[in-house]
Amino acid sequence: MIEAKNISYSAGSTKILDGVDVTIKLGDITAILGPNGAGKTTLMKCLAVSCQPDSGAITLEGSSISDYSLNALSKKRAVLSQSNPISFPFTAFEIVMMGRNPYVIGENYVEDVRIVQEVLESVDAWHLKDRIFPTLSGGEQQRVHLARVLAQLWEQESAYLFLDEPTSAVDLKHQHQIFDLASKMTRGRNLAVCVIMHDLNLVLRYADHAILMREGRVYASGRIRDVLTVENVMGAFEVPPEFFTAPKMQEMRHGWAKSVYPFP
Amino acid sequence: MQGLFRNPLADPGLIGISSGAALAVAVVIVLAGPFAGALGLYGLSIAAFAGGLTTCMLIFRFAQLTGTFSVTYMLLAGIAINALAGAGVGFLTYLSNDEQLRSLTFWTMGSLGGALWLAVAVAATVILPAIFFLFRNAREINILLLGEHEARHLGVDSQRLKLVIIICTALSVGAAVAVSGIIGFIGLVVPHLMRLTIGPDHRLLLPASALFGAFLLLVADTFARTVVSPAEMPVGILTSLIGGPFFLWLLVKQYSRRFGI
Repeated sequence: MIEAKNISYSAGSTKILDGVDVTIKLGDITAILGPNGAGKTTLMKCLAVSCQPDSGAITLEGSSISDYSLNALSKKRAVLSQSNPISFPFTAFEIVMMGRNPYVIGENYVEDVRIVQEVLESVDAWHLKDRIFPTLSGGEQQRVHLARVLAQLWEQESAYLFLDEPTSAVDLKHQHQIFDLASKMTRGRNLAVCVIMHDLNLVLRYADHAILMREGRVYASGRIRDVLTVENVMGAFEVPPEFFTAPKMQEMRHGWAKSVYPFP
Repeated sequence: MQGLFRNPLADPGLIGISSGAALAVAVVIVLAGPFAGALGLYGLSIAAFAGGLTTCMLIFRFAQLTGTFSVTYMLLAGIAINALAGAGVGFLTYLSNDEQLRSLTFWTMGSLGGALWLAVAVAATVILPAIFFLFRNAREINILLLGEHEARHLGVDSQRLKLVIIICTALSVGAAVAVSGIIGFIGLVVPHLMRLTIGPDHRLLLPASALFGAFLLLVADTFARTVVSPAEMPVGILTSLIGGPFFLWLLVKQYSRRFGI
């Protein structure tokens, strides 16, 4: 469990996070939602220890995050950033292999190659392995980076996966494939997946918890059905949503799952 | 260098590291005559190293200020620093006497002509450990190409690594410049040629670039010595002559496509 208590973060004179309390639980998919500039990415960076909040405390499984070494952290959590441009001609395979860097001591190359193959297959990108990364399409690059992040935590138990808009350039089929995989991993391996996204339909379908942000504060948080209400979506996004229940979705794991179609 | 700035256009000469080193050496040649004798060849090396390190740090800070390692910003900073160092060297040239002027001029053109075995040995004691140290970090330099934050996520201490790269680069550039003067474009062209042939993995790229760079320089030097024989053309002129068009070609091919300018 990652717990953030009363964290604040400022860039210059702009307050980006203002007294935020959140909890990321193992075995759950937690979605961070909110309009642009609400502080979603900064919150994720603080939780993933990519940046230090100005005030407040963050604990990872009970101990302060500053007690962990870089290497210990790298086996505990992986982060997929919003954009990762690379201008050097590495192949997709080499990029994903970099995800195995935390395990360089006691390295087992054959094992690493097997894992790289498994993660690339899991995001349906094994056929891209010999392609030069900068020549891949945006969605393909995103899937390869996702594979790299997965390789970092593959076969780890109780680890934390942070994904900042992992499917923003990915097509419909692969979006569902990626979230199916995320669901399986959170349950099968007791992982915590924390994801920033804008597609409320996907959130409703796959996430367990949601943190709804607005202007650097938590607007609402809790179980997905309690957070994504008409009032909250209206209040945070200023768009009146309409909830539909698709007949087929009744059998899905929430039992109640609905679809959101924002009004024009 | 290209690894550090995560940018295929970086080169010690282009962003002003060589000229920073040159300025420091010029200061030593012109102003510190008696001391230079005492310090000997190491004196020039130390001066070149200090000059290289200072400019490298300066440019790195500039790049950090913008948050991104933007090419445009880096090249502009390099131009400014080149101009500053050029003015400094120019002023020292104006102050210098005939003998100093001659060694300065030859030195800024870049030549292997002044390289004695002793000087080479001195430079080698600096350059070889620096290259070895970089080579030991080659795997982590690969990962740094993902970005500083990404590298940290993967357990790489990017702050320490950047410092290692800056110091090793400044050391080897300083030592090399002290011996040969400024020989342009080898540092830019060779890694690109190597990347085209053996790929971008620094574990191979670093030693291959060092060896091929030396090879290319020897070829250019031999050519420079024979083409206008019995006179000797400083090799720096030749490499710049070839490197200039190559750089322009690179600019058109990569800069416009990848960075969208």
